[in-house]
Amino acid sequence: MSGKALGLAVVALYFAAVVVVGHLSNRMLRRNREDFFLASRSFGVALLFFAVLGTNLSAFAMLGAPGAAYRYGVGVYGMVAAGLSITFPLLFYFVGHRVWLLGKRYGYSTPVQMFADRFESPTVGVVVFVVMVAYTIPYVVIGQIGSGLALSGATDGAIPYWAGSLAVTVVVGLYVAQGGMRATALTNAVQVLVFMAFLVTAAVLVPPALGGADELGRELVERRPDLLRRSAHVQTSPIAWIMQVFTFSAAMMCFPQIFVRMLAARSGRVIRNMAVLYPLGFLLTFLPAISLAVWGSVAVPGLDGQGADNVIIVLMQRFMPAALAGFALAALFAMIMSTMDAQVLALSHLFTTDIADRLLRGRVAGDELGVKVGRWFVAVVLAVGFGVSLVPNQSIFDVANFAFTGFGVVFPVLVGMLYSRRLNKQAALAGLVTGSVLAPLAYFGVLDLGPLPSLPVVAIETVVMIAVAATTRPQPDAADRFVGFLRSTFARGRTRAVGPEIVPTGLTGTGLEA
Amino acid sequence: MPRSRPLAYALLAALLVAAFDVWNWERIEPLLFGWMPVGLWWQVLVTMLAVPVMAYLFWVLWPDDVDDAWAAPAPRDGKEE
Repeated sequence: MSGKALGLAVVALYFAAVVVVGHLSNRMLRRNREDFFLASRSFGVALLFFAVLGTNLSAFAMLGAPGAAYRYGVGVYGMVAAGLSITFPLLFYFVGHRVWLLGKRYGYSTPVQMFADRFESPTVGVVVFVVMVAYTIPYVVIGQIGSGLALSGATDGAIPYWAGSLAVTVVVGLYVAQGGMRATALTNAVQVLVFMAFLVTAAVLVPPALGGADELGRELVERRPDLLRRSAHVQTSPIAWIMQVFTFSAAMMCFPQIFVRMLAARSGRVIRNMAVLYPLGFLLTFLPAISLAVWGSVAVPGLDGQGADNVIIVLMQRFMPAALAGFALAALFAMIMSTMDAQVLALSHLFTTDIADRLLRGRVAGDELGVKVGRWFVAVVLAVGFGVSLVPNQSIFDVANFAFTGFGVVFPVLVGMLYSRRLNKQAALAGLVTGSVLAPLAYFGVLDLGPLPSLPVVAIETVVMIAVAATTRPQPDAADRFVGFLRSTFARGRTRAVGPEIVPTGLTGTGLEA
Repeated sequence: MPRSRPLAYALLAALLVAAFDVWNWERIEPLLFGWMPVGLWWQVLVTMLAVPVMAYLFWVLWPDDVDDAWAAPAPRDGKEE
């Protein structure tokens, strides 16, 4: 068997494995919408960890970030791994846990429901829906682009770009439509283990093949010392570090797929334990990925554009046995698909619950029809993404930054929803519209807010929200149900051991105050 | 070990300062394992330290026992019984 055929066989084996996992999870499906989209809110620590990590680590982790490290050096690790190892767990506490509490308390299953209810405004829900869908679809397309590039690159064009994109689209469609949320979480566990195993194995085997770590160090110091110095490039400078960490952090909890995964947790304790373990996931992924890319800068110099994004695959093909190159492709597909499946399912969830169910006046809820409609939406979203992926695009790092900037628009309203009694419908709408207009204008350079405009956009949006909230009437009942409930809950937790218990407003007589 | 909020916040602040290690931005030496510059291995250290710091922070801030009771489903019309 030739090297390429062996590599493709490894990939085919991986595809078959995830489809089988999807099929097995189909047998566990209870044929209702809550189970299909939220796995009946049953995730434990391990499943939530794999589901959230797999969803967060997209093609960006194996193509975009290494491509950036190949060009700009080790500073990329600090931006995408170290900084986020602190901010992401904090976000799981300050936002994720509270979202879970509200979801459990009031039965929300989508972010749109939560926003619309907090601000007593279907219009706010519609705007959140539009923003989430508009920026998730480009991110789905990133996966399809990455798949097409990887398969066509690995076979020197024997498998054309469109066929690679189509293959992954079909496989993801098969297992997501079969098992819904449970299928995506179980396959995410397989996928995370596959790509971590590959990256760690490659990071151990590559240095000896390139003359050893000491020799690599000498070559890097002589030929590319800039890549070893964090502030040698403007893209990894301290200000870029702050902007990039903010951009990723603000967007993360606004991804519908992450938001919904918080709702699928069995308890708040599960989210807490997952948050503590989370930095290890980043360490085991980004340290080997960034190291391989930096080594690639001296081993395979001269790659540019999408070629630089492909540096890990190129290293494997040139210096490693064919089976490991095939393993690299499988790992890449694992990363791509672990994000794509969650995004596609989340979009299908939003379309089914927030659009179809409303249009059909609740007839989609709770029965097999809901699952059927959800499956159809999975197919529609994937088909649209595949069509868009056929149009030539920018590098994956750029597309990711565009999507992250857009998701950041929801962040100030999300924080206000959880923490501010004063924020009302008018302020939320003014903020969302301001951000939605500014983000694309700034990103495409029509408005000059710097190279990473997420922080300025969020700042302007926040000022607008505060100004509008200060001049319009608050919504005390809705604020009580959200902010009052959360404050009382945490006050109770704090005082339990040392003082009298505090009963939340509106909860007297429920038995919970005892 | 005491559940101390000031200690938890101090550890978090120290971790944030360590992550934004301005003193390492221009440096390459000392290299670890022959090739890894200080700007990378320091950040790796920060990532590893994030685990125990978060564990302590959440042990202090994140109540263990409120979730289940207080997240009991509310009546559909939003009014309490």
